[in-house]
Amino acid sequence: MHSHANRLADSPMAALFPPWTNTATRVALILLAAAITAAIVTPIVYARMPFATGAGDPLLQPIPFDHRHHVRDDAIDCLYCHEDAERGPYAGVPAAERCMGCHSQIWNDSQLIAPLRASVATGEPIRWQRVHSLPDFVYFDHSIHVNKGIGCVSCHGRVDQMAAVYQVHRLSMSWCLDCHRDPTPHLRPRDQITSMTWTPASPAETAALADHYRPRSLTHCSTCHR
Amino acid sequence: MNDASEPPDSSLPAPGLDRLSRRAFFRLAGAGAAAAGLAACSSRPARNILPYASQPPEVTPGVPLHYATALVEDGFATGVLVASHQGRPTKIEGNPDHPASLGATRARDQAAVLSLYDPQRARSITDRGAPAAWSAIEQLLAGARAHGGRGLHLVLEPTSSPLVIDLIERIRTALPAARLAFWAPFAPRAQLAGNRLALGRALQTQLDLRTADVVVALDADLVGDHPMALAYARQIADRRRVVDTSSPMSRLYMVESGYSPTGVIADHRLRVRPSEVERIARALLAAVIAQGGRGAPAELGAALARPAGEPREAALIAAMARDLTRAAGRCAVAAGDRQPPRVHAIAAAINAALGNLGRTVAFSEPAVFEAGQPSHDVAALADLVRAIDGGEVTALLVLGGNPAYAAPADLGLAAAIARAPASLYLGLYDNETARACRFVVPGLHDLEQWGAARGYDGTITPIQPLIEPLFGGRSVAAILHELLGDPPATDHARTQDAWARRLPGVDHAAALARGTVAGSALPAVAAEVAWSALAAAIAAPPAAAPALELAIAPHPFLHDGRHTNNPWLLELPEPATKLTWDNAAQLSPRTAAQLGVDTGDLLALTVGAAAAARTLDVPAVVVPGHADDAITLHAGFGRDGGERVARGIGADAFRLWTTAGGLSPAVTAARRAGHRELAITQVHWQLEDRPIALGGTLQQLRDDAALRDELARHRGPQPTLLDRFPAGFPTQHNQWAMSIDLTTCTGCSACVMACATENNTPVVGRGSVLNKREMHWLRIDRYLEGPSDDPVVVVQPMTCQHCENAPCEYVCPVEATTHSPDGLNEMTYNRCIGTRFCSNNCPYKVRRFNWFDYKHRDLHVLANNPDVTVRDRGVMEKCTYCVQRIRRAEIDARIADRPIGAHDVVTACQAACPAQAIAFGSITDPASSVSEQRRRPHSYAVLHDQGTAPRTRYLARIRNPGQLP
Repeated sequence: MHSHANRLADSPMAALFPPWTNTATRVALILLAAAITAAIVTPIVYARMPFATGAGDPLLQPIPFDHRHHVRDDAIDCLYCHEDAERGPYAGVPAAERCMGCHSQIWNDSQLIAPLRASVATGEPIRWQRVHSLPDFVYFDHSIHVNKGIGCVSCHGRVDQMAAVYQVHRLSMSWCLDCHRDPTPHLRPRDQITSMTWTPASPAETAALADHYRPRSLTHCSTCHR
Repeated sequence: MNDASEPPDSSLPAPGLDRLSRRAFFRLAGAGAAAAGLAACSSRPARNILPYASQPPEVTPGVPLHYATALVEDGFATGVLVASHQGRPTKIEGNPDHPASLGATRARDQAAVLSLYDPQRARSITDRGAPAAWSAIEQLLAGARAHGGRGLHLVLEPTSSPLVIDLIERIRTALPAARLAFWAPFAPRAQLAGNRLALGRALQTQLDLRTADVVVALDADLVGDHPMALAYARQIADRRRVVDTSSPMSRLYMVESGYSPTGVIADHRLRVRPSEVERIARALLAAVIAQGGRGAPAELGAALARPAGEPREAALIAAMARDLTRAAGRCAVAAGDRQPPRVHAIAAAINAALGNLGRTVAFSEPAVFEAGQPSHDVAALADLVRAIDGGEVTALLVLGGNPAYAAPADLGLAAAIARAPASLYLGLYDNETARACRFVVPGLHDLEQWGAARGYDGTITPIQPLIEPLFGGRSVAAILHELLGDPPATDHARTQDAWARRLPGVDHAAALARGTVAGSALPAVAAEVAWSALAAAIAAPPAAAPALELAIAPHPFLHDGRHTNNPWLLELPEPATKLTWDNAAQLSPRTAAQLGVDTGDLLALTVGAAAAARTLDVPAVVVPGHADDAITLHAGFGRDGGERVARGIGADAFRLWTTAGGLSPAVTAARRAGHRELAITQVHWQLEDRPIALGGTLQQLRDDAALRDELARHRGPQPTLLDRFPAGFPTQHNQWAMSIDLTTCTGCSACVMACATENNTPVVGRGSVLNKREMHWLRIDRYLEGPSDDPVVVVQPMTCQHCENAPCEYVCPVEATTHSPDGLNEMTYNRCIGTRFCSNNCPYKVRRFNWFDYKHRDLHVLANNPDVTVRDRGVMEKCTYCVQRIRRAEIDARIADRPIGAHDVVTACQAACPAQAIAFGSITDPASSVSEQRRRPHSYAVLHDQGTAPRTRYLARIRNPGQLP
């Protein structure tokens, strides 16, 4: 056998591949497997990264509106400006006239609200940047959530602490489903909907709220997709 | 993202493809792919929120508001409620308070929103095609009003608007020399003329079919093509709904040539040529008089009596006369407007002889201004042509309509208008008339204007705009005001002013809120048949029928061509032929065989002789049940104006319309070389013994246990391997279900159009329909039973059956179609990867696949319903039971902390149906109408033997034929 092997090695027909190709092949196979895995995993991870979801990324708005000041210092309720949250699918951004209710009296000559004055004067809307943006095939309705005990803070975070509003949560389908599978822990009394700090005093209070709202676990597709 | 969708290498110099080497190709492709990848590496696309500057207090974004207004056709208003999303009208529903709607709509009413957003509407004032200023129009109108209006001619559409009538009367006073004509090709004229023959006055016939046990329709499409069709369809359906085996049912006779919706639901249908209807009417009058008609002179009966014709015809006439006489005072005879005045006179006489006047049949003054007068006749247009040729016309104003296209062709109206020294057209489109006129002023869509109109019964219906004029159009009233030299004012102010003057004491705002002026229907006029005058008028026997005759009929959706630029209506299958995107010569199998043609073969139709002969090439379409030796051809096609969708589709039937021949002329037909593939959505008409569209007679349902058992077999328990509810039927949720009544369904297709508007289903075009890729979620299948020349037709709305054991669900590899706990078969578009396994496994073939990206790209996007996803290429879609309406009602009920009410969820198809043939509700509520209907003896499930347990059930087609003597 030995001589046979030697003869092969010494023959003019040398080995087709040198020995290092064994290693190269193994490395290539590992790289290929890694590439396939990466091709699958990368988009999955990417879609969950704040870079893709936009979470935590304050947008530059035409007016540097500061929620900290309006909510904390002035104690303006969320629903004073976002009144449609109670009765329609969209919480809504207030009409320029609503802002002018106060700002015709105070800070009425500030340069910062020049776009607001222009909007009221011309009737042209202010082009706010959308912070919370769901895909077009998702039909989210504010009114049912607000009326059934889900507070603003549950989805929008501590807006009262934001200089410029940013998205706090991923707003992915699994994030929605986390709550839709079991809404009870997120319930709060109707008069605490806009509170940024309310927490249930005891498990008994949560149980009482569940008894009051009778929340349904709605996880079928047409709840949100139509 | 926009960058990524552009071809990435479009900025590089484009080498000729033939000279592109392999290496260069890969270099470019690689660079392109890299560029595309980089372009995608941005964060989310920026999206804006644009709040109101000043939000109207009634608006909540996302919650539509409904406004009452009216759609007007040939002068008659149909009251509608229009849904408006923040000022954007998206959906039209009927106004339940309006007598000509009763909450229902026609297919073409549904499609009006797409016409509103038609990007091809006229956009600016033009002078021979070049942009012009309003001052030029002011000049023209100022010149026209000089010399008391001498040389001024106006052509308007028939109008019933008190506000426009006010202006017309002012014009008649201020400009006495001006000449007015009113023109709409299919405005009802024969009825008024016929009533003048019989009653001495041009009165309008008002039917009340709520108490009619027997209805005989002489070529009268009461439930399809009539200004009051929606109300008559409801009234007839209410008398024919089978609840249990003891239900009474009215009897409906139809005498017609082509199949109409009324013919579909008729118990007896006599297929005769249009010219033969008069013979039938005379024989019927004679038979009614012979059986003791009241007040009718017996000599008249004797004079009309003719030897009996063909046996079946004679038997049917005898049966009609017998049933009518038995139900005297509780029956009605109606004549259609394609019939000559004599047939209408005879119908009035039969009604009088049966004592129906004042009961089921009444007469009123015409709702339309001057209807029945010479200003509404073809002769008025002929006078206009003569005046133009005589040089008497200095200014011609054509306000609305399209007379250059839709008028007898031998008048040469288009050429005459072009010869007029100064002419103005006001209308929505750059159509044939616009092209003949010098000045074109964009008109207003019904949803853009202020006004008023009367319904067929005379009810005054206010019209209000849903949106500012999109293209700065002007109303007819605005032009007339300008003609009168009135000071400028808004249409709104002028409407309120005219309303206050013409309708004193009627609150405009209250009328707008309700959509009608209560109690404003025209009062019944006492009228008696003048028997001797009638006898003289019908003394001469009808002319002998020609060998072959043509019926030029209004298209059920396009009417006279005014809607031909609406792709929704073009793609809606015509009920009798299922033909889309075309018109064709409808003929019977026997006539087709005689002419040697089959569906799609070309025919040359010739009307007139020798030098006056007019020829039109049209494809044939064979319609079983059509009268022999007759051809029906729908108008509205062969358009030649500037509307790009309408242009060049089909053949222009009006080219065969002559003043001598009328709309039912004698015609010769010859086979032409050539064939046109017709985009027909259903080509097989037989049931092949499959349990799909079941039915029987009322007698069988009462007395024949075999039929009842057969029907019961199609709804009982069915063994299945897939038990959806092993723990018993769920009771904690609503369980949605639908019930469709095949007895009252006429196949009018309003539901199909309503579904498409509600659910954003796309238009695919003729080519895709030919490939069987139409996208309607709801279709109306049509089955024929019995002999092929005179079959019984059953129409069956077919849509997703929401099977409890849905075959589509377990073949989907990605769970894109699933079942909801409330019994809906859900379709989740964003999950669908387009395998189409579900469609293959669906026994009802109701799933539709987006083969291409059919989304609206232009202004039409504004017609989209914002509550329904606009689907992209490559996904499957189908009926959702209007899940968006269900979820809306659920949310509203949950917020109000109450259960969902029985009428809270109304699907789009259900809302549109004039016959109320569709019921929808929850079967966990035993009192709901759908639960009640499922308990009826003739409720059944289609293809029940498949074990799919469909949630949609049907009520079998029950007919009530009488014994033929």
